[in-house]
Amino acid sequence: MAQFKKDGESLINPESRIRLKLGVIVPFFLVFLLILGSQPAHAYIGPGAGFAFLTSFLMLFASFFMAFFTLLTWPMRVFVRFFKRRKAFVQAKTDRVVILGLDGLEPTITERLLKQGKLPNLLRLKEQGSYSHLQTTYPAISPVAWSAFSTGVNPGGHNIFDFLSRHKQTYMPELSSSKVGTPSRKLSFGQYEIPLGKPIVRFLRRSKSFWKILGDHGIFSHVLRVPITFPPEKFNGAMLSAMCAPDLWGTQGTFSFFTTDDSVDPIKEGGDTQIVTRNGDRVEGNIKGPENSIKKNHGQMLLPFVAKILGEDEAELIIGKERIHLKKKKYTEWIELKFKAGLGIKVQGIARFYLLDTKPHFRLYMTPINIDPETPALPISYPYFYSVYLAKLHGKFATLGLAEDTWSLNEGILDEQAFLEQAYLIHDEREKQFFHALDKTKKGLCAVVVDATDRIQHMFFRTLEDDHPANKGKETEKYKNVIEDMYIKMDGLVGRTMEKVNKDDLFIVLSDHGFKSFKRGINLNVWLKENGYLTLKDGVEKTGEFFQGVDWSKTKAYAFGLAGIYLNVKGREKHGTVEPGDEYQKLKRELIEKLSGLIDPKNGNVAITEMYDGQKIYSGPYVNDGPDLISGYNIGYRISWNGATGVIDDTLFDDNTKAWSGDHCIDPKLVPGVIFSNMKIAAAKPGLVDLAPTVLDMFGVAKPGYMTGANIFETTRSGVNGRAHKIGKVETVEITEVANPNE
Amino acid sequence: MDLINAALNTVFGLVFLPFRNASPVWPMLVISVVTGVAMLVIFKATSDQNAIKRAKNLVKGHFLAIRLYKDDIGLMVDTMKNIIVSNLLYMKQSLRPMLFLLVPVGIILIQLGVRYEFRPLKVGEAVVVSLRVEDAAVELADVRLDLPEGLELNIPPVRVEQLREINWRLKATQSGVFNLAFKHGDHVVDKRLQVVDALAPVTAQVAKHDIGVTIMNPAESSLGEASFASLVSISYPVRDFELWGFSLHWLVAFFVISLIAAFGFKGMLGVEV
Repeated sequence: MAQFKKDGESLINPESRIRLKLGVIVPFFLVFLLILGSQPAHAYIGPGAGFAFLTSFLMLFASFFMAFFTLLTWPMRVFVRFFKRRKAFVQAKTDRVVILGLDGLEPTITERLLKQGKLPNLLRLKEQGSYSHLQTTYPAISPVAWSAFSTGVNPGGHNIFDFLSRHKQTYMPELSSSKVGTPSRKLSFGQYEIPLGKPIVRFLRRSKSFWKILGDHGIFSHVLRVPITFPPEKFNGAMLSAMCAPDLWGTQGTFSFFTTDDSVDPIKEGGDTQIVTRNGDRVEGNIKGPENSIKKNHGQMLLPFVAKILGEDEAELIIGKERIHLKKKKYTEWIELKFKAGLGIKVQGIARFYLLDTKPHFRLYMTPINIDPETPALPISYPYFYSVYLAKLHGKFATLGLAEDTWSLNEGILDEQAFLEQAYLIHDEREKQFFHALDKTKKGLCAVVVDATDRIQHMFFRTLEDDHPANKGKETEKYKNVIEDMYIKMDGLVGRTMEKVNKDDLFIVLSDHGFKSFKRGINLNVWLKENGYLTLKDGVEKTGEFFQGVDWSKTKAYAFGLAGIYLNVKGREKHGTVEPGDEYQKLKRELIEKLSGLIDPKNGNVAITEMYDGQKIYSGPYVNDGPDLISGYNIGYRISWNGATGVIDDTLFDDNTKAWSGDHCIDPKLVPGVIFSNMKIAAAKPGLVDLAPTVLDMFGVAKPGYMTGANIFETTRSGVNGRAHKIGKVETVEITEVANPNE
Repeated sequence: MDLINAALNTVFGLVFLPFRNASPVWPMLVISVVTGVAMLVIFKATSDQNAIKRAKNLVKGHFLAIRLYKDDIGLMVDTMKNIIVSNLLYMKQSLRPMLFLLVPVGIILIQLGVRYEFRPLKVGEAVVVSLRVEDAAVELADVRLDLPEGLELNIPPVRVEQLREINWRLKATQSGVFNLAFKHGDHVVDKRLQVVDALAPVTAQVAKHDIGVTIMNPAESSLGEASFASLVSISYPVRDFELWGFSLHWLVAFFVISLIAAFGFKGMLGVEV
């Protein structure tokens, strides 16, 4: 095996390399000669090899045929393209734009590490071009923010106000960005109910992404894992869906925990516990699959498994014909899970397993069952075979929107180390895909968003503060550097990307929002109840999830989602009580006045810095679908866990003791993102909504009138850096001294 | 080699025994299917199944790239290059199992060859029998052929001194397995000639020193050290092999049937090929 120096240079000398190459090429050449020159009887050596040669021949034949056909029709397509998209690149100021999104990269941490010289690549990028804070959206959460990035409009224009939106008739939550349903027409016979048609997958984000506009102008894009791209759009490019792409269960990620310990506490959120039986060294159980949509009872499909305990630290997992070796505290590769629906139909997903213990109790963790990118049960890429293409080249990969399983760490099933390992396994997959796409993008756009930055900060922010309530009972010292290490790792990614970026390319690194500590939770529905704006039904002291037990006929306002407060408006909500017009306006003013500056009685800190009026901060056709008020929580605060799930009891403030200890769903002014680029930024206050118009302008495409932002760069007539003809004012952003949260 | 051939003849004789009165199609079908499945099992055991899967995936992946980047000629050329390279990688994975399969498949093909390449004579048909003598001390004129009853000389023998070869044209008048005795002085060289209407192993050539001829014609022993002849050949008629009305070379039939069988069983046996 060839050895390599750290810098990637081969230790093998050139002569040896030539010999090595000859050693590979000559046998191949001889085999070819043998095949070409031999009689059929001598060339055919058994069906296995026969298959190999036959398949190779067919593949070569088919690919040459396809290539020939493509080349033959190429002039015609060029001709058509010339007329349809004749302006592509003509007005462009650059031929290639590379965008690396690092979800949740926090300015204060970034600046501190820049100052300490720990982020040399980002520093180099800043010195080449610019660094600035990047204004985020209201609220500062990823689905909202990345939708603004994609479309160049605020939530009033793209209709994504939160992860969830409320059903105006039932007050129940719905996923805001997509809706998956089964076809209404079905063929019924016996126990089966065969859907006549494909699953209905609707994309609920509105407006038009800038890569679609680029595509309309003949510019090809690779868009990888940008949040809120499920289902993928049809456009001139290749896309891999991200946030809100479901698992095989149809959820946003439900892990499974198999244990022989029947005294274990049930998992509260994001997971499913299954008690399995053990006989000697044999453990038997079932992997739960999705609902069986072709059977009338819609029961959950099951896949039996057996785990043979081989020792204290290892076991063998047998699923069907597949045997998987499990080693304690080691992730398996992605394992294919095939659920039989009946009538020969199979639904396939993939999962990784992680053996936690074999004694005293058998404990096995399984990731949420991801849609298999090689045989996707739902559209997770555009074109549909793009995920297949990537999987064939680089192996199977996580396809779930929120792929890093934060719930399992929150619930104490996985420990910090296991979570980190999982997050970086997924990150490595992303990196491979990104660099592959970058290599393929000779001209056009290549955009990728990395999630690990967000998830790791969510789960390890507590380690930056000794007094964080979530530290209680958890290992802290050991993980103090996890976040810093992650920033350094991302800096390495930036460095590797810079090596592949040409001097005439535009390269942008950005985050959609920053990150702060989440120490205390506020349940605004409790405040609304205590102040007479929300009423529970008689006899109800604590509601179930999502407002079970709320008397809507006596309720004027309710907090919903991560940051919104909705008024119960007559004619809009089913049981509306607030008259539109004066009463509506007066109630909003009243709530803004009372909630802005709300004090936490435990420590006297301001918990809400400002309440924002949705009508004032949003613009666009969907303003009325958004929250009437947006909570601007102070640093250290966020909506409480109960508040987020619509549970109403008597606890207004509580300590956050979960591993999920950092957050960004606070006053957007307090959590701006960051932007680095190899070009000077001219805008005084660049924002996420400026990115779409910026990229369009860099490719010489006029921005649509509904986009409110503008090109943030100084632009030139002839190109990017080096040949700059400044027409804009450069704002120098000073690195400010930022206190280490540990100090 | 003669001992190995004798052992293999016995084994394959037993394999063909149940089909002695059947159409030649049936043993071909059965042997091809069994061979296909057996080779599949050997292929699985001797190959790196994961590497094969990876190599195949690479080929398929690059194949999809043609569709994805159809508008970019540069990427298209890259893709073609990648397809060729990954195809070579894929074929490389077949080399090791090929080495393991070489001998058993070779034996099967040779044993099928002696039965399907040529057919025995039919009564009334004529055939040319050639004898080659390399020893210069042997006068071709002194070599004669004693014919058993059931065979008759069609035309007088032709002696070609330049080739050191004598040719006899014989006609079969009866069915049976005849012994041709070539004589030079006290020395005798024997060769069988088959006149039967059945699937029987046919030996078109026997040689004194040519190992290739001995391997490819296992149904009869080689001529032996004392033989004055170096090679005896019989130009048996080529067998017309028909499979359900289609005339095709037996090797093609074996290839297709074994491939179909292997394809049918590969899922069941979990073999990546």
